[in-house]
Order: sequence, then structure tokens, then C-alpha cells
Amino acid sequence: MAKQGASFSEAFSPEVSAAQDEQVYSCMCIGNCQSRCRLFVHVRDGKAVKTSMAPFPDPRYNRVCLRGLSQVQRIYDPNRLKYPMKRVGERGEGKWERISWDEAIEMITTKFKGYQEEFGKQSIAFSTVSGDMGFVQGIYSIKRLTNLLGATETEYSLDMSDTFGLGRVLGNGGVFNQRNDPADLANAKTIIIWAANVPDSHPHDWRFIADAQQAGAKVIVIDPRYTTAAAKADRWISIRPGADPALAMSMANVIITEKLYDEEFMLNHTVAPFLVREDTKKFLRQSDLTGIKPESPAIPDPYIVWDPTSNEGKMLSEVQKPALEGNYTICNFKVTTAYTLLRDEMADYPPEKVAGICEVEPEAIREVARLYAQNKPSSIYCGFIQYNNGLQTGHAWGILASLTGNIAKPGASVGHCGLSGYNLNFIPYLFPRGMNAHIVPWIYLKEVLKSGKFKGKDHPIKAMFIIASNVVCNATNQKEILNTIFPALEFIVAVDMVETDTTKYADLVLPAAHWFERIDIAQGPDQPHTTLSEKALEPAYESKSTTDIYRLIAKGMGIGEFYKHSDEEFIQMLIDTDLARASGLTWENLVEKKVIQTLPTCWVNWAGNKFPSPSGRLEFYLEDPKPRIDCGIEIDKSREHLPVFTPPFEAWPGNPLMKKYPLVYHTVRQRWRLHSQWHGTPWLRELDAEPLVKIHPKDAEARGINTGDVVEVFNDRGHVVLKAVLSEEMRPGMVSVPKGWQRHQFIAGSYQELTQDHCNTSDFNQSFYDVLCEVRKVDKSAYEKLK
Amino acid sequence: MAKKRYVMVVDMKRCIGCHTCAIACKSGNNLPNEVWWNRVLTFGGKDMDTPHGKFPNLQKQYLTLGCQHCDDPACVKACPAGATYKREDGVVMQDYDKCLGCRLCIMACPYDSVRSYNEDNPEYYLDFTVGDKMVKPQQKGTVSKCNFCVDRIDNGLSPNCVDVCPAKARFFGDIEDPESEVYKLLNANKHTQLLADKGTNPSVYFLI
Repeated sequence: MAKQGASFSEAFSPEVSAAQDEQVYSCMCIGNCQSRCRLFVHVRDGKAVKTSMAPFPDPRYNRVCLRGLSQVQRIYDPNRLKYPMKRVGERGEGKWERISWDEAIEMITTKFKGYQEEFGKQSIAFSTVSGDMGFVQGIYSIKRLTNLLGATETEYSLDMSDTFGLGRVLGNGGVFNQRNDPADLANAKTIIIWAANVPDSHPHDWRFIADAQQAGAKVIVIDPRYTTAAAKADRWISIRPGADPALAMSMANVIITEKLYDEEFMLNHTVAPFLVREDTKKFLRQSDLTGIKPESPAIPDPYIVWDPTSNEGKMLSEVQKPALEGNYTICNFKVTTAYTLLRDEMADYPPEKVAGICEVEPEAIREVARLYAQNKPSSIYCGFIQYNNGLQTGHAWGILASLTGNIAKPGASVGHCGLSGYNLNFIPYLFPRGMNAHIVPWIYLKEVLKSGKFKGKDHPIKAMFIIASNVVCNATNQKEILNTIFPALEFIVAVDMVETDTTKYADLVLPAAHWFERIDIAQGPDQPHTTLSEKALEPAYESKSTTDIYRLIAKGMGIGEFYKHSDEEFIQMLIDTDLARASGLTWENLVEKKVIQTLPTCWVNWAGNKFPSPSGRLEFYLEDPKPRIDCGIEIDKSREHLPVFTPPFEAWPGNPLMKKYPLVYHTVRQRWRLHSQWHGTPWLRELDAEPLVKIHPKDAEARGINTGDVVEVFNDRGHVVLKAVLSEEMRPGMVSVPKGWQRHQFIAGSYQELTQDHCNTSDFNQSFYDVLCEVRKVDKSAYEKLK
Repeated sequence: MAKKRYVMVVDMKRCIGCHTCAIACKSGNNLPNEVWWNRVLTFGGKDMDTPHGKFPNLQKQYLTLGCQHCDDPACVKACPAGATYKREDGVVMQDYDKCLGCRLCIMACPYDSVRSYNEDNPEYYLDFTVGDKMVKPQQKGTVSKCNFCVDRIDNGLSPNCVDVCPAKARFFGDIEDPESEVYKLLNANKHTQLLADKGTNPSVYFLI
């Protein structure tokens, strides 16, 4: 691969900057595209005039995008929130009264203390998502406050279907640490891009896939629509929306039937040879045979496997090559190997049958399965599954990796994100007095507010503090949020840099400092570094950094002693670990070098096949599946030991609703925004002036719609009115609307009105694409009324 | 010493149409509102980001388009004021001070919309100059276009649009230097130029 930039000098020179009267700061772009780009912020006469790409020590990681390069317009956005504002008039009316910070903090702390006294500590809730991914100012920092106060903390309920499904196989549950360093994709021979439009959503991962292709790798894209990824793939499989688990399980079927699996890997690194008790569905252990349970978890209770040479059950460590298949009886226990159960379950998904479910040719399923299993090393680049059955898809991906050994090796990767925060000192930083926050999934919040109970106990919630989250825009079923959730809360505070759909419905709005107006550190996950983000500018107007806001609240709530630290001291607290020091991550080094590479180039996750599951192996069979979050709700384990195909919640033929709403409704990520950030950036709006719904010409023609027509996309939950574009990239039977636009940017309504908020009690995830809609042309007279 | 000839190479196989190069140029050169020196075109359907063909037999690529810095530029011949001229190293320049705004260069140029004309006073979203200070400010009644970021390259820096490319699809250098990356890339890969039949011999090459 030709080395970038080698032909012509550098992109940055301190001398040239000095000659242009610039002071240059080293900052980080920290929305959650996951890339975490380093930016030079060029400041001239006290104003940021430019951002440019700042390099990483290994140039293969150098990155920046159109959004990072537009930051100057965000800093000086005329819609920057300038000072605290109190609502006058009704919520959403847009009438505000400017108040001082003292008054704002007084209001917050008086109300919070009042609620906690009258209704309990849990009655104040804090809600954040991924608007700010700095460690000190962003996503995790709120946990220090919620745990000190014993408050409720809403958990985002996002990206957690397939992530949890695969996570259970790996053994680390619902966390994002799954795949290898993205740079390692360049080492793969086969890459399946599944439900991800990498060029648009992860442009900085794309280059490694392009490198792999140039080296001869085969790239397969599985996606209903013809994305840019599909345009560059060797093979594009247009799957029926929501059929992903069936396709993955059919691939497993092919690998099993054609004996393409890696038997050695399965026997040594997965639960394949473990014996599942017919009665309890759990793995047979020594204690089952002896009747003596170990006194503590520290004492091992060996798994029992079948030794085919001596024809008996023995401890795992005692058998060289245990049986892969078979039913056995050991001491009156009827047992079957986990692999046998997998084989029998996957037998339900032969390509000829699944072809109908997925609308994919059987030969295509076979081809992909064979490539994945044989043209190794193979990686599955996983997108986030946005249907109610995503859990099964993730579980099935774990099965594919287990069968083929396509994990924990260079070029063999599966799942999301990867290592981030692993070397940081979270306990004193987040839980200085222990874990006292009450975690309530956002998707379950409506139920808690309605019943006043959580896990069987009273759990009134009266107030909510929303920060770095545009939940009204980004969470499902917008009208339910505005008409049910928000009205149940007496007091809502929203903190943001600019006015958003969410701040418009708050009672009190606080202005947040921009990322370059405070100091922080950031890590990966898409690149292996820990990087300092310097303070380049003073907070604009009366805006404050997150930490300064928390300091004021903490003082008023009587926990000021826990916020005596400066931002630098918080950073130093976080990086105070041996692991950090071992990779050169010290405060002195950070200040001097700005960026430290804290993981090896092309690092491989789970190297040595060491998985965090109870058995230390890939548990493709789950002996005791549990829900992702304990909300006191039992699940049907029988369908989760191994995945069983279930159609999506709403978007599936056979749902009678399809008669009324025949089109599947996707709300997609585009290059122009990151969730709802950059929604108002003028340079980007010149290129992407208004939201457009994409529809296949066949579906458009049936509805009398042409490109440029104003249309209404609607279902029983709500509508959005915008212009249409006809495009052959769309699979007939579905439409896509770009996400992240604010309500006022549509002709009427919002894309988020249509989505549903069904609560899946296994993964507690929001299923954004699991939605049906209809589209109709809006005629001129109606259009004028709507405006 | 051999004469330099600066060229740009864009790998169409890798380009993902993300517009990072367009924004890098816009911000670095403090371009006025609605002015773009580098555009990203969809080589597919009629509308941006749509493909050519009928589902599922589809094609789509992206093409970045700015001044092609032709070796035998039609614009230089057309300019009555000497405002458009070609440097020794190949960069085709636009001198705002000499420019009359007659736009004969735009008419002569074979490529659409690579030159912009400021009919009125250039307008900006912010009330202070952004980007590289050394870039000459735009003027009312004059034409502007990509100049390979001459202020940067004369200071040993790469043009704004090159290193930023997320797909690592952009390259810049001296095609007369056999050690340069652009030379090696063009030597080793199939490539094309836009509208080569017009005879202006553009200095932007696309790997295909």
C-alpha cells in the first residue's frame, strides 16, 4: 500500500503556523463515531480559525473527516447556548428567561434535595448517552455524581442487541470490547461486512478493508440496500430486512453439514465438548457426580467431558481429545455435548429453507459460508443490528467464530469496538463511595414511571438531568417521550452546546463548553492510543465545562469534597495504573507528547484464546442465559441457550400491520452528521441542504411519487414530511430517512415519531429499524397547511 | 535540474465520496459561501449518492473534481488580462488583482464548475478569516479556483485535500521525479484522465 503523504512533505509545520500568527493546540474530536481523531486547533487572535489532522505515531492511523474539519463552525455556531435559561410558558413553547448560574444551581440543588428527601435518593435521574466521549468531561464522568448521590442513572439501551448476543458467547456480557484493532482488518483474507455501511459510518476503518482488498481479500457485504460498501464489495447480498439471524444460522448449518469447522479449535477453545444435562440444561460438573458443591467460587468445579477412548465421563483436564458429538449417560445424568445440541439446532436452517426467509439464493449462503470457513483468516465486520431479534444475530456470529476459530488471531475478528478504558483507574474515579446508583434502562423507564416501581420496590422518579444526549431526537418513539415520559417528570434540566430538540422541552437549560474549551483525555476504541485534548479556548459566553457544572452541583448537594480535584487531577487519577505506566502513559508523557500508543499496532483481542467467560472458552451454548440488565424480569431461557430465529417485532411479513404499512422504515447514519451533532453546520448544509427520504422507483411509481415531491412518511405513531429521492439503491419494500435532523429542519414532524419503543426484556435495546410505514405524496394545498 | 510537474492522483477504487477533501479545501482556503473549489460527484445515478442500473445490478463510484491544472490550459489562452497563468512547476494560477471577471476562462475550460465567480462581495458565515492566513482573500467580480494550495506547497506542506482523505485515496507530487509516490503509482496502476480527448492534458489522474 502506498504510504500516504510520503510524496509530498507534511501536512503540518509549526514554523508555517507561527508565520501565520497561529497558536496550535492538540485536541480531540470526541463524538461517538468511535474514531476519536486527533485535531490540531489553530488559534489566531484568540479565535479558532482551523482544525487540521494531527498525526499519530504510526501514520497508518492518521485520520480526520469532514466533520472534524468543520469544528470551527460549531464553536462559533450562532445557536450556541450562551447562559442558563429558565422556562417561562409551556414546555416546548420556546419562551425562556435568562438567569444567572447561581440561580440555576440554586434551583437544581434545592429541587434535587427536596425530591431526595421526600421521595428517596433514586427520585432524581441522570441521563447521558454518547454526545461527549471524553473520560473526564464526558460519558463516564456522570457516574461519579450518580453513585455519590445514590441517584437513578438511565442506561442508554442502544447498540445492545447483537452486542449482547455475541458478548454472552465471549463471556463479557453487554460491553463493547469484542473485536481486534481495526487496522488488523488489513490482515484478513475474507471480510464479511454485516449490516454496516463502513464508508459512511466508519470511514477510518474503511481504509484497512480497502488495503485488504488490494492484497486480494474477498469482501462480502450483507445489507438490504446498495450502500457504498456494497458498491465496493466483491459480493453484495441484499438480505430481507430483519432476517439476519436466519442467514447467520444457515451459514453455521453449511459449515457443520460440509464439515468445514475447525474441530481442534472447537474442542480446545469452545464449550463444544461440554456435556449439557437434559434436566437442568446446564453443563455437567464434578460436583454433580460427587454431590459435593465447592464451598466458594474460588474452588474449581471441573467440567466433565466424554472420553471416547475409555468410554467414560472424565474431568476436562484429564482428556486429551474429548468427544465432539454424542448423547451419554453418566451416573444417571442424561447428557449431550453442546456441539450436538448446536448441530441439531442449526439443522433447522438449511439454505433451501432459509432462502425463503432471507430472500437470498441458497448458493449465495453456501458461498459466503465456505469463504468464511475456508478462506481464512476471516473477519466479520459487525454493524449494530436494529431489530428486535438482534440478540440472535450476535449469538449466531459467536457460533460462526466458534465453529471456525475465526477469532483471537490476526485477520480474524468479530464484533464491535474493542479495548477502551481497560488500563484506567475507574473505581476511585467513578465509585468513590461504592456503587450506589440505580441503573434503569431507558427503554424500561416508561414502565418504571408508570408503575412507580422498579424490581418490586417503590421507585418514584421526579427529576431528570440530561447531558450530552439529545434524547428527544435520538431515542425511539418521540411522541411517547414528549407525551408520556417527560410529563411524568416534574423537573427537567438539559445541558448542551446548542439548542436541540431536547433542550426545547426542558425546564432549565445550561450552556456546555465545546470540546476544545476544556481539557480531557480520550482513548480508541478505533485506534490504539490514549490522547490528551488540550484546552485551546476559553468557554464561550457563560458556558461551562461538564466538570465545572458538576462541581457547582456537588457543592450544593453537600458532596463538594469529592469534586475538589482539578481536571488535571482527575486525569491523573484515571491514568494511575501499572498497566498505563507500562505503556508509557504518564501525565508527564501526555503533556509532552500529547498522544501515547497504549496498545500494540494491529493488536489482537483475546490473544491466546483467553475469553472472559466462566469456562474461559467461547460459550456458544449458554447454560444460564440472563438478561442484560436485572430489572427483576424472568426470561424464557429455552430460546436463548442457542439462538432460535424469531422475526422482528414489527417489520416482518405476516404482521397484519403490513397491510396498512407495507414499507420497512430505516433511519440511517450519513457522513454529514454524527447522530444529531453537526445538524446546523453551514458548510455541511451547503452540501446536504435538507433531509430526503429515499424510495425505490417501483414503490414510488405505485404511489405517484417522483424525485423532488413532498411526501409524508407515516404510521400510527407519527409522521415526517420531507422531499423524496428515487433511488435504485433501495431494496423494494423499504425506505430510508437520514437520522439526526432536528424537528425544525423537516417540513413537518420528525423521523423519530415513527419508531417504536418495544422493550425487549433480554437485551433492553431500542430497535430503530424494526418499524413499518407508508408513504404518500402530499399535494400543494396540504403542504402549505403543514408548513 | 529536471523541470517539476506537480500532479494529483486520485484512486477511484478507494474513494468513498465522503467530502472530507472538499471540506478541507473549503476551510483551509476560507472559501466564501456557496464557493467550492473541490467537488465530489456521484458517478452513478442522477442524484447524489444514488447508483446507476436497476436493483440489484447496480454501480456507483465517486469522482472528485477541481481545476485539472492542465499542461496545455485552455483558460490561459482565453484570458485577456494575464490573470490566469501557468507556473513553471505546472500549477495553473489565478491572480485576483489582474482578473477582470470576464469569465472567458470559464467558457474555455472543458470542465464544468471547477472555476467559481464572485458576482458580489464574497460572503462568509463567520465574521473573521478562517483557514490559512497566507491564502489570498477572494474579491468581488473575480474568478477563483483550486491552486494546488500554492502557499502551502511553497512552504513544504501538502495541499489541504491530500493527507486528510480517510480512504487514503489522494496523492500529490512531482511526476517528473521517478522516486515520487505519484510517479510510482501511475507507473504501476491503470489510470485515466478526464476529457483527455479535449487535448488540454490535465494534471489530475484517476486510478481505475
